[in-house]
Amino acid sequence: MPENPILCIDKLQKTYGDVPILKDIAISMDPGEFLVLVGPSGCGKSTLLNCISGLTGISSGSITIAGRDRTHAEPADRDIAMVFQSYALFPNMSVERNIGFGLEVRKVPEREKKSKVADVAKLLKIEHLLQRKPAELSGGQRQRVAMGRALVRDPELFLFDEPLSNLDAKLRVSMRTEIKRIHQTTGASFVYVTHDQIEAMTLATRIVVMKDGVIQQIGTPNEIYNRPVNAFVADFMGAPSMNLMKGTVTRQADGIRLEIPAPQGSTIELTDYDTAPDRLPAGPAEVLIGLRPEAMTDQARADGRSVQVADCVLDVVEPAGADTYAVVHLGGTEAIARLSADTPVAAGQVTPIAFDLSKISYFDVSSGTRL
Amino acid sequence: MLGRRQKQEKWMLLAPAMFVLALITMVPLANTLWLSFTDTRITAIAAPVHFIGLENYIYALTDPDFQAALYRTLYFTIVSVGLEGVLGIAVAVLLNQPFRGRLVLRALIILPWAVPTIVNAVAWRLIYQPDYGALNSLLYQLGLISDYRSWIGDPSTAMNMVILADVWKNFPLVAYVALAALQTVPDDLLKAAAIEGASPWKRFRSITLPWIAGPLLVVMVLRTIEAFRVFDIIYVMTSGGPADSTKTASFFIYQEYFNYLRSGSGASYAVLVAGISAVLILVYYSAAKRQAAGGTA
Repeated sequence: MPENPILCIDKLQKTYGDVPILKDIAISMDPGEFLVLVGPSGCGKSTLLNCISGLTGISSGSITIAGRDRTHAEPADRDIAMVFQSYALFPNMSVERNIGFGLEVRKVPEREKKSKVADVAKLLKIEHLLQRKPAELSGGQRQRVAMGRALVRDPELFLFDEPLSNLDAKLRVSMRTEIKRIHQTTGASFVYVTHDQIEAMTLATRIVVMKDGVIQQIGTPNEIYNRPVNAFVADFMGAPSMNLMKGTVTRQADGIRLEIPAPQGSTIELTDYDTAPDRLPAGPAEVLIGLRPEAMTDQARADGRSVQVADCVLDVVEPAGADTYAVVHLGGTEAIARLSADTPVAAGQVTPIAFDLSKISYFDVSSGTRL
Repeated sequence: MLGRRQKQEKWMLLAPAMFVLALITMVPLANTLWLSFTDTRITAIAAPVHFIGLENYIYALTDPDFQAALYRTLYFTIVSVGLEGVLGIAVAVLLNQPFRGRLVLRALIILPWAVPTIVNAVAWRLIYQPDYGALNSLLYQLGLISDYRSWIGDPSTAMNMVILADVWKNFPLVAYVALAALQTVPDDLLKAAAIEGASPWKRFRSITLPWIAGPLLVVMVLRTIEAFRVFDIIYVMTSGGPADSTKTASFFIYQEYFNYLRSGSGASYAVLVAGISAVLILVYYSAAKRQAAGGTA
């Protein structure tokens, strides 16, 4: 039996005037999960977080937190804490008072408050900053204080609204690790909003991918990455994103025959032996063939069955240190192949590329849904 | 570091402005200071002027009439600026809420401040008029008074009535500055405080008020200085009466100069009032510093 969900959202709708912002949202989250809401700007992820926090009312549906119906509760009564993108530290108060503000409001005795603040400060390694004002802190330190203010009350649910967006790239990576470490040590339940799919992949125990106010897919990072439910999720998650090439599939006795158009009227022909053929139209039918860049790689890994080789013309070559990205015109798109940096390649060159068909995804051309 | 040449250049560039500034502020100031140590009188024929040292000051500081005028001024300043502050902030908070017609109301609220003081004073004198004034009529019809009264003809009410007229005229300035400051309070701060469980009043006290304290303080200092040297509204409404009940320090000095023509002793009163104003400003600024450093406890 699974534990009772810490957060349960059911049939949630949110409209501003006549404009629907969130449509039929349903999420069930177990205690201790790190749930990341991810999607492009305007997908409604921040609105959803505000609905969970109670800062924004909802139009219909219900929100249950730790087994209690909180649909219409005030933010203060939801037993939640929130970390804002702007950190939202109170500028006129010391770090110590910022962290202890929630306890101060709740009239926690002074001694208990002090010791709790000290514990959190130790966890976040900001003991030496307690007497400072927010203006005297760096971005990363402010971020820690904001997390401290959330952690000190030990709420049922933590909400993070793009907390790393205001940090520079290097600090963002280290704070990401820090947040993950805090999640692991506290075992608390986190709901985290980001537009950065790498943040989502690295942090989440489960990812909720949203677009236009609709949940596209909920799944573990592995599921989202390897089995995206539609072309949008496939394209949005992963950097570089999944190559979505138009091609023709035909069922054959031993597998699925793929024909992917290449420049100058040529065609790349491969056979997928792994996918159950009955999932696809009897064919010949045009579909979107999804392969991630790392599934299009050097021929050294070819085994002639799952991994098959075809010659491709490299359009652009982009060395990226550990790997070299090569752009190949395939199936009406600029597909990216991820080659080893040791492979000597140059633009315009014809190079054998190994296609790992065990990693293949098929999508309907018009609807984008996974086949 | 600036080189010697650059330093010289800096002063040369500043010199014209400083000269003009000295001419229009320092010269009258110095002249007043000099007058305050003399027995100069404003007379038709040139009278000999004597340096009399601190005599004017000794007289001024022991003059019970001047002390009474100072107390009245202090009362006027504290009550009117206090009310303008409270009313101004309250109105600003209201105008910061979203509602229909907010823009129109925001524009209208500045009107009293835009009216010239003299016009405002005359208007309020009409409102207070003992025989057909609007205030009498209103209070009578509400049943709050049984007879029409002479609001500014009665020494017990005259000062408060003048204060009311002054507050009506000047609270919009405080409201406008407060409103401008309120609009800069980051929404996230209030949201964060709400999630932390702070009540609306606590959010206002701990977040909003400290945030707007700086600009608010500036306008309050301005209003305090203005209120302390209040003259025109009193000149028009009551001329210091009845029975000196609205005779403030500025009015007292005005009479000393232009009714009794003693410009020497008038100058000494003026210097004293300027000194008190300076002290008030210092008190305000030290309060502001404390506020900025410690927040609210």
